[in-house]
Amino acid sequence: MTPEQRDEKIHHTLSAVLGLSVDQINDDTSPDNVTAWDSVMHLNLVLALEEAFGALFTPEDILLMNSCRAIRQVLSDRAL
Amino acid sequence: MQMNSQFPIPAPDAVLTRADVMKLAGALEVSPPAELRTVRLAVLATFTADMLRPYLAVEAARCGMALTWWAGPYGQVEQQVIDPGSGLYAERADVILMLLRLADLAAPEHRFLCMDAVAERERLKDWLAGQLQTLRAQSGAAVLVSNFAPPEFVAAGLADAGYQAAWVHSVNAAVTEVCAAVPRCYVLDVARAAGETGLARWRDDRLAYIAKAPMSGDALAAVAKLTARTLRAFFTLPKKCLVVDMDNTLWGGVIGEAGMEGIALGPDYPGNVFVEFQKKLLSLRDRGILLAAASKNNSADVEAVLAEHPSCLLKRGDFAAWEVHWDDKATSMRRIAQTLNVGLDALVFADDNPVERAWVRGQTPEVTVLEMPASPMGYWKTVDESGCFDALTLTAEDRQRAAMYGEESQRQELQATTGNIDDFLRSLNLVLTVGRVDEATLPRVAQLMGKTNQFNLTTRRHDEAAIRAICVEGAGLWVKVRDRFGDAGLVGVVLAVPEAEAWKIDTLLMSCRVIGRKVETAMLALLERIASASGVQRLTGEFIPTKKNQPAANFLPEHGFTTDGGQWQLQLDAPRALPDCFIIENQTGLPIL
Repeated sequence: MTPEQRDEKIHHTLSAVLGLSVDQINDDTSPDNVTAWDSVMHLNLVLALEEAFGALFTPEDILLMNSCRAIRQVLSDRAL
Repeated sequence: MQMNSQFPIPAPDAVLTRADVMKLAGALEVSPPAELRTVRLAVLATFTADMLRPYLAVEAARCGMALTWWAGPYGQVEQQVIDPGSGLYAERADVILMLLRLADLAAPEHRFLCMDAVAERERLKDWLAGQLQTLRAQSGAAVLVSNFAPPEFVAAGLADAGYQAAWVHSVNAAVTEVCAAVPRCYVLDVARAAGETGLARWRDDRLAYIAKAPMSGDALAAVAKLTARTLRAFFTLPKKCLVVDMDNTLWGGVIGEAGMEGIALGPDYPGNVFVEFQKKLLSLRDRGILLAAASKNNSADVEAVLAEHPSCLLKRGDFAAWEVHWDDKATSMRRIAQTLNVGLDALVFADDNPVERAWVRGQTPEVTVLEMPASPMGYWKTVDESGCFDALTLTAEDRQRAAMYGEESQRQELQATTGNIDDFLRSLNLVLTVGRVDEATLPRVAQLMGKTNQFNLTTRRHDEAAIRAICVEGAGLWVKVRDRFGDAGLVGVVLAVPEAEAWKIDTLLMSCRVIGRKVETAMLALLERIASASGVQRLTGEFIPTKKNQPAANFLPEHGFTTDGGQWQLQLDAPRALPDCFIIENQTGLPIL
């Protein structure tokens, strides 16, 4: 998967889970600026990302993934 | 499933990604499709259950419901239940879902060896009974109580040898017992869902440690599916009859071509797949679902398989209706409905042939046509997961039903050999038992009120609470009927409420399985006697026509009721004679004979 494909997939998943259009998603998208992204939604988002990328995150990952940028970082660290 | 203008509700077998589920749940929340039935759900959980919400919203939509979701603060089950002013009661929910974890309620698992297992089980049982009774006293909502998954950890290690799991199982048996004793409380069989999903995939340690949300994604999906199916069973009556094709449905191959030796039915693949499907159909029959045959064949060929094939488990007598000929299958559906005295909408059709399915779907759209998979290994799953036959409880009548339909065909043969109807009825040795509706008969009375369509004067669908109220204020009678061929069970209900100086017949209904035996006349005669004994001089009644209750249309005028355009009236001067074909057993405790 190219970095572009990876980013597209992240954006697509965030958009589906948070109920936003893909063009509303950017690196800074985070619980600070999306009301729907609360602690419960965060867990459901993490599970959706795991399924989409065939990944299994650690508790540390899950706590870190608190913005679109951080999600990208965690996935790229794992070469996904 | 119906399509909505904004988004399609996914088909029952469509596989959704978690992202799909979240997206769909969000859309359902913003604009629930109008065709969905709104169900107000209140959740009480001993742990963080909010992750379930989107999964449940989607599964509920697939089952025809739009959920509204209220969840109490986690771990505050007792506080919500005990406080009449709590958010739980303010929510006025249709259904209260109690999601419980043993780890949150019982002595800790790791100290299992130090605990008095019997005493602990009794304590849990008492606790649950207390919660449910308190709930019941304050809310009319249906209650769904989750039982418990097997232990994630066993204290004795290898030496446990299944003991700790057996204890959890015994706690679950106690949960079942407690729920059965409190009206409108039902078990959500989470233990079974956990087993099906697999215990290793049931708990997500990471979510448990981070957020006190112990359920894995798979567990959430499984509980959502089970809950939605159970909720649907609250609001939807099960179908009454499964109509099956024969060739390539009950056995592999075509009997007319391959012959008895050539069809696939036996101990080896693929014949064993069909044997297994037949076993499942017999289990349906045992729980009161009727089986009917619709096959294009020479009837004699098929009857020979059922009678003589050593591996064919289904016998001719297992089928309550038999349409095996070369006529089209939509015609067969209509005849089956007529034979069984049920509507077309009570039928479900299973046929491997997509052309037959399409024909039936087009010609008789009321029939539920199952989309059977290519492999017979998937047949049962399709029948089961359709939810068509889901029922929350089985009554004794359900379990006897198939046998009763067998008896009915014997009666029909007798009637054919006896010329006159009165002679025929007298030859049946009919016994009619009458009693007052009480707690023991209430579930069956409510079930009959919920599903009797044809001989039903008013088609009022009272729930148990409403029936109880009528019985206190007026009178509620049931009748049971048996004859020399068998016992039809509790088949008639009459409810009357005082109105001015009269008693108004709120409900008079009778199961279609005893139509044509003067049971309705006997019910009215018994009501008249009880009314007279209570000093009432007049009965009033009404006929509320529906699409299906034509058989009851002339009941009131035929029994001497008159009308000047308004309600039907009957003066109670002398009690009507009871039809002489009955021996009456009076269990009302009133001197009415």
